[in-house]
Amino acid sequence: MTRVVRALIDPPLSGYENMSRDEALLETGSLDTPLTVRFFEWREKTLSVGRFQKTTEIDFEYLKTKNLPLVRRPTGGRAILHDKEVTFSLFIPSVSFKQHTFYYEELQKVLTRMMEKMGIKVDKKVESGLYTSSPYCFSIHVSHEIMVGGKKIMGVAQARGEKGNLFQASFVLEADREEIASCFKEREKVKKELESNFLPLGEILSPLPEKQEIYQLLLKSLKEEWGVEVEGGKWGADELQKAGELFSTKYYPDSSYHTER
Amino acid sequence: MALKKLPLSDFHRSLGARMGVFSGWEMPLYYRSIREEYFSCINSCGLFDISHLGKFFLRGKEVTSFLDYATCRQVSKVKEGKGKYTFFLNWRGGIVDGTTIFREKEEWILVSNAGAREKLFHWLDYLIKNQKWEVEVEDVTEKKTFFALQGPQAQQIVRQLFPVPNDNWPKFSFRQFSPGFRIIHLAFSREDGFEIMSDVSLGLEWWKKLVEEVERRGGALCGLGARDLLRFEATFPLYGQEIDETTTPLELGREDLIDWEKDDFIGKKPLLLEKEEGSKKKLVGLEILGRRIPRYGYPLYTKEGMPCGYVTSGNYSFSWHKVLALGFVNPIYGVEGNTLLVAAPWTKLEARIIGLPFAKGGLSI
Amino acid sequence: MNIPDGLLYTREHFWVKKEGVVICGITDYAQNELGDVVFVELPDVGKKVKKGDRIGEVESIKTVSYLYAPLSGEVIEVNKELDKKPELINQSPYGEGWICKIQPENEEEFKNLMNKEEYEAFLKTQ
Repeated sequence: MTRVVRALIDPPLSGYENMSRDEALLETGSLDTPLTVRFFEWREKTLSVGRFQKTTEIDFEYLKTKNLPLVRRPTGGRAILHDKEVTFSLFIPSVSFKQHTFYYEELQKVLTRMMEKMGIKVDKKVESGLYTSSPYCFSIHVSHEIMVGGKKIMGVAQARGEKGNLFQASFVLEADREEIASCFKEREKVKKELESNFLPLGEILSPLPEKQEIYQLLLKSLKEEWGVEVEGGKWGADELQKAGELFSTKYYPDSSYHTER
Repeated sequence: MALKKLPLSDFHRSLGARMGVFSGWEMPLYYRSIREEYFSCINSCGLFDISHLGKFFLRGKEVTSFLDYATCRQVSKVKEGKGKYTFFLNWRGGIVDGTTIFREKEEWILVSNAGAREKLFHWLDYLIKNQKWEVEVEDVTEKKTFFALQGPQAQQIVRQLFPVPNDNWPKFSFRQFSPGFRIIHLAFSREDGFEIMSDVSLGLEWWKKLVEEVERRGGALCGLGARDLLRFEATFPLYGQEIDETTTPLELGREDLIDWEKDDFIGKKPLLLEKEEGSKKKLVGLEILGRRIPRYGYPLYTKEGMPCGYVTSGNYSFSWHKVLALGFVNPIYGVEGNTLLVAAPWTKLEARIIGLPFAKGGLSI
Repeated sequence: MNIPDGLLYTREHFWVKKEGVVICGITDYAQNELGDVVFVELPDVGKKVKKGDRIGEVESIKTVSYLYAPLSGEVIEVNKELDKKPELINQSPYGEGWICKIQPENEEEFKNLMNKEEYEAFLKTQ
């Protein structure tokens, strides 16, 4: 286990830049790269889709009408409308854990601990849910989700790289299910799924903690669960350069990468 | 979620307008070409349908003191028949919207960015209900047509078509010709101009008269393409690009639009703090040294490769044959003459920071 | 919408005219979609291209779009006028606004291009 966790806090960026930076973490990560947590914000409400997700279910007319950008993530999973949420990513170099460690399980322990610090009990055993065909992240329940009372409260997606794994997590504070559902062609269906499967934090916790407090809780939980030391860190010049390159060649606003599937 | 259509939408199509989507509205982007329309506004006159802009009436006993509290300019000093450009701020000093407001006898007329209309309505509604102001807000956006005339001949056209007294018509003042019909001396542009608001029932009739007069003078019908370039050259901020809730008037470099002497207004405290501690970002003008137009959201880097901001608008100026852009940068790097890099698809562009506004001498807001 | 007879078309909205070598440019539909063109980045003369390669770009006030080689071969001439007058693409997409000439290397590729009727039908799906 690496002893140090590097914590990066980015200013609000566009979805395109955010995804460029996350992929840069994965791409430039080497065995010497410390385990990295990156907290980030979305400069504008943005719909993200998973790396391999088809965009045929998305209502592009609606996105256009509402000026909602669409961005494809480097990680898998389904779509998320990022708005009032805490978003973070985690780069875990492959030397961090013993071989054959199931990262999702390790991460679940950290996130469970974080939830407990907010006084929220998460479900012990998570069964894979019914709506496996849903286009929306929070409607899908698979094992190792963070769920409360049978509803999903956090979306976590993964990408594997040569030198490590990248996780992206979305922890929704408040959400407008109607608006989310409008992003999809099967609006009514998605809305129903969201009503029964999805839980924004604000619906069980009032007043909502500040984002900074949640950041601190996550770092504390990482420390306790994995026995690491957290250090406020800096981006490496090579990482930022890579991010710029990825923006210019892959994640720029009109890039076909976002809609190619 | 259907696209909203202008009352004269079919008419624009029949005139050959190329339509596109802007802030949920289907709008003419151009009729013949952006270049021709832009030069019409500079050399003679151009006519725009801007009925998509948010239009509100505010009434009630406390309306003036409410506006004094809810915006950052001293609204109570505005005389009847006059107006101002001002910002509604949120509690953090971020911009809910940049609007023009005009004072009529008993009420105020407010014109907002199209992209902020619904949000602004909810914000006003929230403030009024929560703080129990005796103010009423009516959204008349879809009940009124709104046309803009821009260019050196705009005033002559207005004087020819409407019974305007032969006197000086100061900027930022308006005249009412019949109950539902007002003309404002104002243009969101580097050029002078007038904006004409009327009930939808009268819209088509007046549009036709205006079109006839504009064409007789060799002017042009114009779409949003030309409008955007003209407002961009004057460095007027557009909602969703230069202004949003995370941006303050100080970051825009518009302290002149803050009336500090007012007792209190929403956002005053955080703005005072920002003034003391310095802004987190700063709006700069960029001259692009290359044949590409940066678009909203392209990241900015220092020459050493440090991220330092992002582009909010980019355009090609037909007048100066230059690519220009606006962007927010970390104030440390936002120094005139400094060279930055813009990450654009498949390339990097050099950008030199230049002074704002790009065009001097336009109507200042 | 002007779609002349006798030309061949690609799904990337290029037209191709066969005159020994081929002359090509972007279609009226494409220029209308782009709006006012302000810069054209042309391919280098002598460059060997494969069908579908990105060979240049067109920057308009509204958007940037890329030029894709309609056929494989060698670029033997480019329209230098476009450097000074990019608006020729808007004014005369099939004439003075032509983009480049290519010496095709594979006659077979012509079979995959569309004729006027096919391109018209294709546009309806766009």
